[in-house]
Amino acid sequence: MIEAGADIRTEEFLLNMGPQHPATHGVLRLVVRTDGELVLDCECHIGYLHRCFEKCAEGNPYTSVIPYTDRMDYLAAMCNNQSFSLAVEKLAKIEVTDRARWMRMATVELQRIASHLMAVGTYGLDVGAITAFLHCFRERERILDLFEEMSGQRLNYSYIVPGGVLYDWPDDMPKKIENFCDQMEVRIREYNDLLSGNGIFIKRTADIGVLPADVAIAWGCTGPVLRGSGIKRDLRKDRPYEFYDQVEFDVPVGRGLHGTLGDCWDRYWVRVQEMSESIKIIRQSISKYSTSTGKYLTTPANKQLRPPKGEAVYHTTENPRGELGYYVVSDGEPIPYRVKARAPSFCNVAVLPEISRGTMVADLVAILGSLDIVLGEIDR
Amino acid sequence: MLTGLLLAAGSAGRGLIDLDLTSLPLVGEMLAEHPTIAWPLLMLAIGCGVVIGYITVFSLLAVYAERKISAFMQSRLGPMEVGPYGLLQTAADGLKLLAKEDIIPRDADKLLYIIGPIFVFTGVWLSFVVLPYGPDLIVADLNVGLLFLAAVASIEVVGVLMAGWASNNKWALFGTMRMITQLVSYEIPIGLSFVAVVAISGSLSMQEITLDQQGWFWNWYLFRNPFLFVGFFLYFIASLAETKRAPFDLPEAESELVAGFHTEYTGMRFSLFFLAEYAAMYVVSATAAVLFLGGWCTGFAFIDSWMMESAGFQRVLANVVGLTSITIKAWFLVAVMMWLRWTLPRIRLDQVMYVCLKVLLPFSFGVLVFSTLWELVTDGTLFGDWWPLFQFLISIGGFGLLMMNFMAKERPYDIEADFRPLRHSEVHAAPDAGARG
Amino acid sequence: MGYFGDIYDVSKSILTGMGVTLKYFVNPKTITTVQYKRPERRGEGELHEVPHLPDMHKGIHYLETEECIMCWQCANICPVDCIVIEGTRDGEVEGAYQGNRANLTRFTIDYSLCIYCNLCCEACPETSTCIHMGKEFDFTSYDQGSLVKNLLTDEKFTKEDLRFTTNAQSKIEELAEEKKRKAAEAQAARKAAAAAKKAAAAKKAASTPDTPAKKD
Ligand code: SF4
Ligand code: SF4
Repeated sequence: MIEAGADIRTEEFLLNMGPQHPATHGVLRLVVRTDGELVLDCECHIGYLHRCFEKCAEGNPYTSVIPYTDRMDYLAAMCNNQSFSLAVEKLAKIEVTDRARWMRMATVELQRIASHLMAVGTYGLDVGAITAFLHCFRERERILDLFEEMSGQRLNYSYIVPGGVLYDWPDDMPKKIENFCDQMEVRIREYNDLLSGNGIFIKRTADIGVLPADVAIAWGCTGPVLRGSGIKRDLRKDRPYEFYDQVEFDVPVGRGLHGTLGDCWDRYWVRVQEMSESIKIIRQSISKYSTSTGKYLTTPANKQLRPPKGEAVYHTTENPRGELGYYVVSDGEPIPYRVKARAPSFCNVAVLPEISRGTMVADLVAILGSLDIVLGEIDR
Repeated sequence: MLTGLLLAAGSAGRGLIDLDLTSLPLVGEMLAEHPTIAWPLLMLAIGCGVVIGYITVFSLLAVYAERKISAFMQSRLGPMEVGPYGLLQTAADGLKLLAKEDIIPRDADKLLYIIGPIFVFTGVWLSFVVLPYGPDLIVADLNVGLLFLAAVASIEVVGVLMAGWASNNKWALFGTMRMITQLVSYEIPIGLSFVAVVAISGSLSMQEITLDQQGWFWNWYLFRNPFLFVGFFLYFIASLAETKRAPFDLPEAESELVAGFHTEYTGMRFSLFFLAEYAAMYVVSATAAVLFLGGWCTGFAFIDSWMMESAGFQRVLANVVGLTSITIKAWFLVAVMMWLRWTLPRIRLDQVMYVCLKVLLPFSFGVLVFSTLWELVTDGTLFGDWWPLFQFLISIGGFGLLMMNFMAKERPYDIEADFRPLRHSEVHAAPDAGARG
Repeated sequence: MGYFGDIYDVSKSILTGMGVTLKYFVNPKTITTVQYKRPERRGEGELHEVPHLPDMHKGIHYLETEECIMCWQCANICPVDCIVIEGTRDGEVEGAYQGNRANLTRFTIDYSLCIYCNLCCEACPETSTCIHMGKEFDFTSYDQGSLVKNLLTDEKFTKEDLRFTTNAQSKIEELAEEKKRKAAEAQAARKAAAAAKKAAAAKKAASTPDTPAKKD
């Protein structure tokens, strides 16, 4: 740093980043106190996308809440559906057939890839690599095509409902998913050539926004943000739901390959590796699905669910962004008495001021991108 | 600057236009009555018109090319709607910009706000004065051509400062500060590259530098000696920063600073910045072509000698050939700039300064010193007439070795790994579908 | 890594990246964009033939009016309450659309609200699955008010339709009232009958107390 002489007056600068700003991934507002290019402090202002999810959920039948969960983390709608459905199933003691479970696992892992592609791509965009972003989108588009054939929707699927999935797969779906997995493996290597291994990209992200493990735990970070700091915590392994205990996969963690453990590059790299792991899970689920039997849906959509009065469950799943939990209370009516969501992005974004102090404005954008937040989930 | 304008005007008349203007009715009268005032004015108008026209046409084509190049790199089609293959898209966008409301923010400094873009544009525009396009196609063959080029390039800094400061916008201020830091520091490596070339050519005149590279392409300064070969890349990198192209596009990094110093500009004023940016791309590419790639020389000894000796109609033809030659070279460099832009992430401000001060600067000094030494030692004719060819082979050989080293560990992979679409229409084509329980 | 190692690595990775983009640039097979076929460029009957839409596609709804039993299941499950159904099962309304034992005067969906979740189609009773989501998706307009579709006519919900439904409303109410009255009458009659029966029975019992016992 250049020492400013006594005759040069320097001033702090209050910068309003957002809510309309290309780098804030939605409508996050950051009030940044800067000294030149240096970030002295920053403060997150959230709530611009508040849509009363929890209140709306209290006025709708259990099945009708599913479309609302889509809109929380709109980049990983399947995972939200699954999480809420698992909670309701636990609450109302609904059985789900093996076949439906395998279908769910394959779709959710596809969704995880789609979401990570978005995270990786927009991260490239944040640091200025536009082509990587569009390449990621191209592959995401293929996943959306698959989802469209399953559910008829491309973003908010409302596909996984209490009791299974809403529609059966077309006959050739397993084949198509396998095809996609084959392609994806090649593509991931290509992203690595284009972006992950790029010297400029590494220089931009390594050693930036270092999140030590204890800070990550103290702030309640989960998902790739926590794993990037070297902590092996993945609910799919630690507290398996669905059939995650029956498939083989690894939990990639950050190793500080290009700098300090827990920097932006580690978080990014965890996501890229998780895509490969998801491909493994998808392949296994597909082969199990082909041999399993049962109906795809056990409770029709118009059947009113009336969980017993006074029951309450809390169920967490591993969302692409971290631990997504739903707390659902029933009072014996067909509509839930109370729904509370624990959104992973909400905790992850809270750590931003902590790790961005003393960096540069360009780094702030890089750090924010590496946290991979979705405002729909933060504001709910 | 005014001198530059007049110079441009005067020589535009001499070199570019061979029309009998006196035959035009109103103009003829004017010229007859006030020859001392009217002639320069007329020349001024024509010179300005030609350069502006050239810049506009180039920008339209370059924007279209950039869109298509980026689209193909990103598996897209690019503009397809307006005109055949979207050819008219950029023209339509230009019209839209012209028709747009011109907004001056309430708290802006109006005067500076208005003249900022004009300054930026003028700086680039003046550079066209000294660029040679053919044996006779040069607006003004100044004997300090290269110096003039370096000087007018700095006008842009002033314009950017005006625009960014007058906008009264924090993002614009950020962009301005970044831009100025970058432009001012990158002038040093650029200047050093110039000096390295001048040390060999012995002249600052663009036309003379070009003429010195006549003959076969191994006479180009690029292959003059291995150090100038490196010098070319240094100049190219520095010129990327000078024109704020990626990876040095942080003055207008859209994901960080919204749009940098021209955040507040709309309509025509914005398009001036836009034109200036693309024109600057052309200027630095053409300069690189003149300094290192033989300018309008074609790289084939027989064509070059014909170009110099021809007369009459053949001379016109020779000029056209020269124009084509330099345009192709400049366009190639512009295309490489676009290629880089759509591949690389953006670097950070401190890294920009690092690259300039700790990499480009020492290397440029090295190039200057060693290339001059090389010239002193070999004297251009170490092995007689074939020495230029040897130098060429040395440069190319070194480069080839480096490349082989780079590419050695690259794993081959199959780009086509199936672009077979996973679309609905393919559903029924899948042969052994239907494995289910 | 050192100074020169850094420069070497960065330039190498830059060239690798440029190699990737160049491969894409020179290979036209990699272009994946599918151009949208604008409505004005489609043929007359081609509206449903937009390429690449899977069978599952959730588009604008259509209704098999004759099948609808007016059970309000779809309106009830709709998360955003955008379905409005009016009509009666009590009798004829002039100009109404004939459903299955029902007279529908209004069945509209407000597409400024609809989230295309398909739950309405799922909820429709299995005996008469009559509301579907088609493949049409370009239901557009310049103002929000005209985004309401009348599923009975398969057109936009117009002012005339609104007038009709408002007028029909009184008739429906009349019918409902009449039904209520009839029901009340019927109930009264039933009550009266029951009372009469009771009275009669009581009378009978009073007059011939031993008869039932005899019967048993
Ligand atoms: S698709 Fe969903 S939102 Fe639309 S009308 Fe049907 S239930 Fe309502
Ligand atoms: S659920 Fe089906 S039958 Fe019932 S009102 Fe709706 S469309 Fe008609």
